[in-house]
Amino acid sequence: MSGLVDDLIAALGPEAVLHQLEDLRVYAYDGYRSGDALPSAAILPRDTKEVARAVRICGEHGVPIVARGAGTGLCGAAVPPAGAAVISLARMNRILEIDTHRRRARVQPGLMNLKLSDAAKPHGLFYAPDPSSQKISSIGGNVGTNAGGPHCLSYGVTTNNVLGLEFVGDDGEVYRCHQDDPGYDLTGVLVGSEGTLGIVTEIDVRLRRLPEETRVFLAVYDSLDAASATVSEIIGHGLLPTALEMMDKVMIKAVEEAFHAGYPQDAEAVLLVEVAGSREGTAEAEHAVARIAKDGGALTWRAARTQDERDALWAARKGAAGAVGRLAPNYYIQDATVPRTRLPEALRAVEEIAHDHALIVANVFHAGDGNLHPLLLFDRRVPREVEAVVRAGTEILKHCIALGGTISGEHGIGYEKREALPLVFSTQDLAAMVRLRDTLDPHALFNPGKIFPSGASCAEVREGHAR
Amino acid sequence: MLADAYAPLREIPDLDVIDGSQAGVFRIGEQRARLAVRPRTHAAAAAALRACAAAGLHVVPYGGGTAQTLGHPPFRIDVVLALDLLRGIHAYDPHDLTLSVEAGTTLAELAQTLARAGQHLPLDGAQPARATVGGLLATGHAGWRAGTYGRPRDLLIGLRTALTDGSQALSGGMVVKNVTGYDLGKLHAGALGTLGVILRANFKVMPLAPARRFVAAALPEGTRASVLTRIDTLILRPSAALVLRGWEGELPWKSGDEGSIAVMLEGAAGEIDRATRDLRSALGAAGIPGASIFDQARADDALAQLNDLWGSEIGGRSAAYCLRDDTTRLISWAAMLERIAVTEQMAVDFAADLLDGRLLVRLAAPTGHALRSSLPSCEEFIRKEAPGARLLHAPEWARREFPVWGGEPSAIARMREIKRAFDPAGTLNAGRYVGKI
Repeated sequence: MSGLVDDLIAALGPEAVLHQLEDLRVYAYDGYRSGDALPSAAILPRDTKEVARAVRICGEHGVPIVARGAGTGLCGAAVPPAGAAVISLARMNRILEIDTHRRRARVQPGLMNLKLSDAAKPHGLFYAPDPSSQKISSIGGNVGTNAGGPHCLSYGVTTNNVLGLEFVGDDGEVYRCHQDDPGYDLTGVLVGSEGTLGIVTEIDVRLRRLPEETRVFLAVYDSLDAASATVSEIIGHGLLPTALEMMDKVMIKAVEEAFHAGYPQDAEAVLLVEVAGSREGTAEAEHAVARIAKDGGALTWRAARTQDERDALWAARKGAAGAVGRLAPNYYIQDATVPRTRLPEALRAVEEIAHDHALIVANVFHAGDGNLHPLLLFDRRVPREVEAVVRAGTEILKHCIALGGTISGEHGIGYEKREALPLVFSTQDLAAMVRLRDTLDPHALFNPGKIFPSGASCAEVREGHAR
Repeated sequence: MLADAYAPLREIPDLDVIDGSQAGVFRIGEQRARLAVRPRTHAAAAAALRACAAAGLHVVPYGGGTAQTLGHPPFRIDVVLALDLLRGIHAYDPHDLTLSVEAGTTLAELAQTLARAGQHLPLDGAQPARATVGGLLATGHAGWRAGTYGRPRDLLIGLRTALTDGSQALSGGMVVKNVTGYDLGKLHAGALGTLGVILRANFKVMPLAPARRFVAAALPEGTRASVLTRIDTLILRPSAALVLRGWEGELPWKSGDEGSIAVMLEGAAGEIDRATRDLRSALGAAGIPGASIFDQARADDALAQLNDLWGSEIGGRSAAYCLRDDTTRLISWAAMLERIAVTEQMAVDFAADLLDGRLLVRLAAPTGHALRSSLPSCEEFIRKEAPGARLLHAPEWARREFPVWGGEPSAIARMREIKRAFDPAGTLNAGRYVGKI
């Protein structure tokens, strides 16, 4: 392996290549887990050319590559297998261009998500995908997982806001693809492919105009069921708020203790509703949503009238997962999506499953999208709890699939859910996906072992298909 | 020899085989099919595809036949795979705002179903009574509201395809947020059926705006440039905004010296009223005196007429291009084309999308023969100014000779590999796509 490090240093310089044990440990984890093994090198390229050079060198040495943004992912997609090389895009973090007229921006993958909206704001524009991690996650990482966020309800997820990409292929060549260009939509398949098809080095994104008016409301309920039924009613009435988020009692308590944002601690559930757009449109939407919420049994309906109040409610919502640290030493956040009419059933199932396994569950999620995020609380030091969490997590996924849903709405598959993929897709479905993987990365240079079931090497999936 | 090759197709259950003159109703540009198969089930479609691939037959998938002049002419047409029997809504619960529909369903049929529940799929196609969901996806056609609602790929949440090895592959699902597995729907959307045949598609749908208004106005001399900047500063965004010229007899409003402007407004009633006031004052300030207003169903009809322009061919003597750039530049190209057309004795009609930076331009000559001699100079101008311009329709000679898709992308070699992986025998639409894939 020293040959690899020497070659990398010779090509990129010593400051761009980390290979000491204490340095490598920093690159062995993501938001999902700590790797059991260390990478052989962590490469910090400064530009696309250096990424391409690194890819070629790793390819020559037959060393797999894991692209890494900020390492905040929640499915293990950025955790390297033993001996792999990590290419960190952290130094490639610039905004290259903001085209205010056509409302587009060109950025490097290491740019923090929120920095783009901050930079676009003086022009009356913003970048819509806003994962809760947006202060610390990179746009490149968001592209890798096709990240979502609360405001995806009306603005779409990352893939709907990425127009084009520059990427380095397994051959070390630099390619550009754009939705406006002729040919297959490589942008569309690269977004969400978790770094298994290429390394993204530049991203063209769509910017949107800041709405004329934004209103944020809090609806308080004495039952989770009533709150989730309200969500189904709002969507069913053809109303599309810009965000429609829910928290249950356990989560409200944790969040309120941490942030003091004004969430009522005695409530069983709250809905955080945001409507944005024109003055007239938001006024009408407010009226309609408030009526549905009250008809659905909301105890109170409160508007956040000032920007500070709105910001406080949102900051608490986006910091929810972190606040759970007050309740238990560890938590496991699940990510599944169900059709929106099945939300009440799905939530009841989550509660029952947690109860059956004697686990405490906290819910905070994108209700409007049907995207659940139950957090199962546990203590890693108690083996029984660890086992219970794993079993409960799988049961929740199976239940969501039975309701017509799927196993990941926005966090990704990575290591975490690869074995669950066959619960959703047939062997033929998976074979088609593997066919694309085999074409763009035949030697499994990019992020091997992610997304697809471990037993199913590409050849095995094919054999399964032939049977 | 060829007759034997077709024999396995006749053995496939749920597959209607049509040959002889009856197959001639399926037209691909200037060519007619000699044999067509119409699957009644997904399994029959997949089996037919496998049988054709095994026999080395070239297949052209066929929806409503409204966009078969897109792309290069196919190398060969042995079998037309017509999807008109795979039609209907597969699953639809309005409260979920999602819908699953068979590929052969027409856009009009789909719109009717959704409208009954006060919803719509805002993907506009030309000739919706004939154009199908599968065709819209395969061509990746983006209508005039794409700048607001996105392209077909953006509203697609799940896709079932038949591949040439006889397998059926699903990606995505029936939920609006989904990162489970590769998003192969994106790969097939806009691939012109060169990787697989679309069987069924799932979409996220939307509530139909309660108020819809279409505003059109003639542009007197000297007003076009100023209207462009004023439209751009409107606070309430229209869902479509165009500047047009020509299209005589195809649009229900008057055109001025510099053409006309057409704007679609959608939203709450109060919103539309303010948007109309703002628009009127913007037009007034630009020196445009009056406007025609169409509301609700009449607004939808006016928008549909605009969308029909995408497919508006003048039998054998017209060609249409789509160019992308900044709106001001697009309009100046249109004006330059008008000047070239005068010397070449051609008619030019154009429509510029002010929200999505696109120009649709149709060039027509008095005869097909005249087009052959006059089109090359326009083609030369367009390629020089906008190398990425796409030729949307033209007689076969032009589609054979010109770079229809607007040059080759940097990853063309990788795209050829993808084609080989999904369609190793080159069964599907061979020669029609980018780089004659």
